[in-house]
Amino acid sequence: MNLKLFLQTVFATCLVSFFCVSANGQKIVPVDVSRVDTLRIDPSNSMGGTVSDFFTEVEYIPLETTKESLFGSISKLEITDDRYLVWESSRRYILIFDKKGKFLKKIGSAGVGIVHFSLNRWTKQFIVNEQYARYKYYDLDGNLLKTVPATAEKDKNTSFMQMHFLSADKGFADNYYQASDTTDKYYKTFNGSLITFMGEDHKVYSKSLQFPKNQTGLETIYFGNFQNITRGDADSVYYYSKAFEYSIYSISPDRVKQSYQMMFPLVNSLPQGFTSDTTLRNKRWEWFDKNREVITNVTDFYRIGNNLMFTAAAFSRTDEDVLFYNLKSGSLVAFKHIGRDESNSFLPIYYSRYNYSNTTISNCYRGSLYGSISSLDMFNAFEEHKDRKITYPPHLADYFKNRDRKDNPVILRLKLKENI
Amino acid sequence: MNIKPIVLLIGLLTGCSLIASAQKKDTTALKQVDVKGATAPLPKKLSDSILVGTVTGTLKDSLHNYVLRSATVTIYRAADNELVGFQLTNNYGKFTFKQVPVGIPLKIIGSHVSYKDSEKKFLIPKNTKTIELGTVTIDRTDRVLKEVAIKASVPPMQMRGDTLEFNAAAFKLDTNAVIDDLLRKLTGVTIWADGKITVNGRPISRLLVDGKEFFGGAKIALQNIPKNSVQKIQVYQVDKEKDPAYAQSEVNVVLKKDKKKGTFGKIGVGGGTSRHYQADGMMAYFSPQTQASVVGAFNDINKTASSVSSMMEFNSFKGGSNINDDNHSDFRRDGRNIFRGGGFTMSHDLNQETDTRKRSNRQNMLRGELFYNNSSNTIISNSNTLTSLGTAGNLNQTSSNTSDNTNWGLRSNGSYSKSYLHGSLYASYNFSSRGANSKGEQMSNSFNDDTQRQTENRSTNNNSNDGRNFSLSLRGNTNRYFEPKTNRYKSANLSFAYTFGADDSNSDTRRLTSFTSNVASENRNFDRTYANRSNSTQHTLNTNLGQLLDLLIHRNRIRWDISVGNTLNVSNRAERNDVNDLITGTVGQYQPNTGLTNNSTLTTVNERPSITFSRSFSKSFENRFYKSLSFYINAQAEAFSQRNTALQSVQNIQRSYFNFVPSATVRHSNDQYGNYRAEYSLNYSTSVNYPSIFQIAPLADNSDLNSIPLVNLKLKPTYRHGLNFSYDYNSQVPKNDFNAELRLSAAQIERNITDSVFYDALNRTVRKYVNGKTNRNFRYEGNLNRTIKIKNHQFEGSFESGAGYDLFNSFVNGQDYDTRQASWNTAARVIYYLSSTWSGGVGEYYSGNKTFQGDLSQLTSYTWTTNFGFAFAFPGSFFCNTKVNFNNTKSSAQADNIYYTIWNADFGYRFFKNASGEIKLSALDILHQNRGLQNYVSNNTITQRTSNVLTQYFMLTFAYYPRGFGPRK
Repeated sequence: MNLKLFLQTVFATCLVSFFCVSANGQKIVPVDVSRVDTLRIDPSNSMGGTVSDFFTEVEYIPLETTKESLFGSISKLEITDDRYLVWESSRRYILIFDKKGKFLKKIGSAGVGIVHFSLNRWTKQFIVNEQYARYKYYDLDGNLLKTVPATAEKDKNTSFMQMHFLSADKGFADNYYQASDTTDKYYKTFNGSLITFMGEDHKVYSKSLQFPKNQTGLETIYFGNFQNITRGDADSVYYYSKAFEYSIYSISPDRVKQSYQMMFPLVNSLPQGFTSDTTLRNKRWEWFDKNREVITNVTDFYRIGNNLMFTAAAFSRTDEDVLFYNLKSGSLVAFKHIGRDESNSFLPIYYSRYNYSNTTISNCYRGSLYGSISSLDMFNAFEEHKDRKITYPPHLADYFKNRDRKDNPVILRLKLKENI
Repeated sequence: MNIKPIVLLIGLLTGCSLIASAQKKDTTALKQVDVKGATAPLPKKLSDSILVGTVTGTLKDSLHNYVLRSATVTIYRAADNELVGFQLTNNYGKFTFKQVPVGIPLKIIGSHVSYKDSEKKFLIPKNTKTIELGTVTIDRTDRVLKEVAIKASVPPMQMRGDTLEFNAAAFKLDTNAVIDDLLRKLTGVTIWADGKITVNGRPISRLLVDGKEFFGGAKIALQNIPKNSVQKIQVYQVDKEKDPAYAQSEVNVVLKKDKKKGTFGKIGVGGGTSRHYQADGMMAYFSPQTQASVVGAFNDINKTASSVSSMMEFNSFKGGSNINDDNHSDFRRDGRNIFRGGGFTMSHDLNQETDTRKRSNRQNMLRGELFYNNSSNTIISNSNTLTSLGTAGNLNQTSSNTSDNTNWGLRSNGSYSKSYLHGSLYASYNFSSRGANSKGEQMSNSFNDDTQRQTENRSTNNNSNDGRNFSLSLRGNTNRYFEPKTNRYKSANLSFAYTFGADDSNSDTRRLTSFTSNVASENRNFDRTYANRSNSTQHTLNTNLGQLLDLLIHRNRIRWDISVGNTLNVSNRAERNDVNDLITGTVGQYQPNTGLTNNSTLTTVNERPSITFSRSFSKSFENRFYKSLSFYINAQAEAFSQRNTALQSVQNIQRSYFNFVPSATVRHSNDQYGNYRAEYSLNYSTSVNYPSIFQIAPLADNSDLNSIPLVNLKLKPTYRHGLNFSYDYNSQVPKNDFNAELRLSAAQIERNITDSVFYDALNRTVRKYVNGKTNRNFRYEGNLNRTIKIKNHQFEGSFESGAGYDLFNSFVNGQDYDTRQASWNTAARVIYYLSSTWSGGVGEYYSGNKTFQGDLSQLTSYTWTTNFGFAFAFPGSFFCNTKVNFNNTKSSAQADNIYYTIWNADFGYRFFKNASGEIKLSALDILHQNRGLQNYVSNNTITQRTSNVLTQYFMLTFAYYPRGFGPRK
């Protein structure tokens, strides 16, 4: 063999690996687009029916209301095998209830705000980020385990990000289309990517879903409480919705793959190149205001067996924005066209009032969908059907007898039929 | 009391109402409909025995297998498309109609946004009286054809996003109905007797037409624009995001595309007994950009006005229910008054925005008004005054007074207002010219029952004056706002207002006085002339800068808000008074009176800087309530300087003062969704009142013997502390219109300026202003209002009460007396309306007061009034209203109670096809009992006065209302 050639190759390889390693020690995880399911969705042709047509189980769990446990509404709900963790709407407290709705503990205080809340199922702990200043670790009974100050320099500004755990010591966060001004005090070194993989100590080790320079600063538009990151069908899988592209990615440890691509009718779809069109910079909101039928994003995506649930909302809200889709049969059902019947005691399964920001269902766990209904809506339904002689399950009969419409919201659990 | 006219009138009223009810035209007016339940009862033609059917069904998109919630379902008569009823489907897509006619072909139409109207014909069998329509299928519209879809029928009510819309075409009213009549038919809308409008309990802050104000008053739009010009009525809340606690509701009337222009007016003349007369005219024109009107009036029955818009309100067309809301004579006014007035207004909108909702937020308007008025009157009055002098007995004075007066005024004003996205600008000017002439004679007699001294005073007064006034005002403000693009806040909360005023006036008087008493040496005669010339200028500048901490500190975290402001007021007045006395023994030769002739210049400067600290807290629970609490503390100081230089050296006064005048307010609002809304506020404020040059150093005019003033150079300013509490409650439970208000206030005035009066042996009053003890006063006011609507019937009840208490001291003949004054009043009223045709009401009113001055005197007076009235109005036909007031007054100056009854009645008829002709017979003070009786109480005096007032007259008026809306045919 030619020694000169051999040495040149070795040298070149070393040079290349040196550059790879020196690039901030961060690896880029490629996006797997080999098996994308393209789904054609026409919301105006979605079907409806009643609760017993689509759900096998509908359960309401009232949450105990005492002076200490009273809260307004739920901004985030986390579920474990034996706990409900409620991060309430003023974002100051986390309330812990058991699976029967009994109040266990409240953490947080009036003057201090909680900016992030992450559940680590493997260590059976949850971490609360207080005002970007410190992380507090709690167990599932609400006992404070440790407090770690968050320093910007050490974490390279990752303390600003919401961490989603994928294993006991690893997780990821989403960055939006961060601006790349290197002179900015808050410059982040992982620019150019939408997903960052971090260790438990918030140190970044790899990134994914890169975006081109001309897309930096892309303003993302999500209504109210809509979520672009949702729990997947296993503990270490999350679904991520990419802005303005109607695409759903699944994120698992060190792996990012595009699972679904939604296609909507032309009148409801964004035009080609919407994200890269520089003339639309900072004008996208006005564009949507003029094109009110166009779906902004696909959000709140869940997969349970062969069924998908997601929200495809446009500025002009309709009753067909929250949808179920069956991957086997291709049937499309609108959540808000499912009427109440005896199987759920004629109680509400979604908010009835004209409400911009709420989709009702906010999480899934072990094959069930979870959300919440306000006591005001529960009691309105109860009053409406007083003369119908409905038999309620004993815990609900008790709730209607002893509680009132100012009580805490009620947790709703839905289990879909396999074939809808 | 003349019986004949009364008998004639009663006969006329009875007869005509009998004829009217028999002759009613077929007014198929729609009655109130309950949205979630019942059906509208049918027009009177069909008997009640038919309205016994029920209709039920479910509206469903069968193709997609789901029911439609909150969709509009309407039932019409198949033969003539007459509306029977409408409602929204419930959560299960179900609808249930009751009291639907049986045995007649009907059709039902289901409609919803994004769906094609679905129609189904049916007939309720007479024997079963019920029909179950089962599933009524509705299909989605074809996307491509959506823009071209023509709706066969129009749903009466729709919810579009956050705006509630009522489609006028779905409501059939009399052809001459106006917007007021349409609003009364809408569910959830209540029009109160005082003109206030509430929608589902929420008060309406503005009524706009096509996004703009209409001729400066909601009443003008409500009572003139025909219902047939209206396309829809929108009800919505404004500024909900900015501050949910103070969300205001507005009503916007959207006119049909081809009815955006129109003219309306009135010409009327009337003549009556005792040679009374009246003439009115009004013509108005409106278009999307311009509004212009011309008005004129001439009468001698005390109907006066001071602006073009109030004259427009008097001359409005009025449809059904409001036809009896007529402007009646002011019976309390003194004298026989002749009024001539007229004016012109114009407003031009420079805004090109076509979306009416957006237009209402972006003003760009030019306005102008010209108004002229001229009134003359003759007043004849007599009064009796009783003055207690304590141990020195009582002074009885009787006087009689005659005067002839004329005054005129010409006013022109204009304004320009423009609002930008983050600010606004307003400029206006006002110019007026005025003049008056008066001639009078007064004679009074005083008798002191202790000294037996009797005096008599006669005087003749002749005065003419004129003046001109000009003012200019400029106001502007900018708002701080958030720019998402740069993620920064921009601009500042800055506001300023500058006003300039100038006034110039002249007055010439000649007064002849003669004073006689039973001591001949004290007799006096005067013939004195006064020539007064004055001119003044005034500048006021007000500035304010808010959110100071946000401007100074980057990323401010301090929750308190600080704002600074300043008010500067500079005024200058030059006055010249030439007083001359007749040289005794000559005719027409005068010499200057050196004691009264004066030339003075007064300059005052008032500078008030202030700094305000405020903080707000709010708490909201989704679906439960929204509460907010705000605090404001204002640290303010006032520097005041007064400098007067005068020929009369006693009036050379130079004063300057400096005071702190802080204030503080706490405000709390509690909005319990769907239940009620309550607001409380508590305010503490201070202010200083500076004595005028006239109070400190008045010049004694020895020809005026009723009041001889003394100088008091030691007179100091008063300092007032005030505490006010208010509470407002509005129920928001649907169908339960109830509101309540409470106001409490307490004030304390230190160094209160009060009278010190001496009565000399010749019954002459010598008066001085002094600083007395601290004055304390308390006030209470409360009222409750409730309206109940049951189908066609509406009951409105209101209850008001008030009380006041004053405590201060004054001096009589050198002695210090504590004076206590207590007053109270209550009123209760119930008004009943039956559809928009009949109404009646009953009311009770009481007011009384009591004054104690030490042990010197105790004086009381009170008035009771009971009233009742009744009215009816058939559109395009007869109308009538009558009202009776029973009055009962008593005072310490009278031996007995005085009772008198005022009874007024109107009776009229509207004719011509569009009800544009009117003939009306009015009878005022039928029982001829009106008297100008007034009682005044002050410290130790009580006066009872009677004057010539308008009394019984009958008048016949003819009026024509030319109207045209939309393009000429």
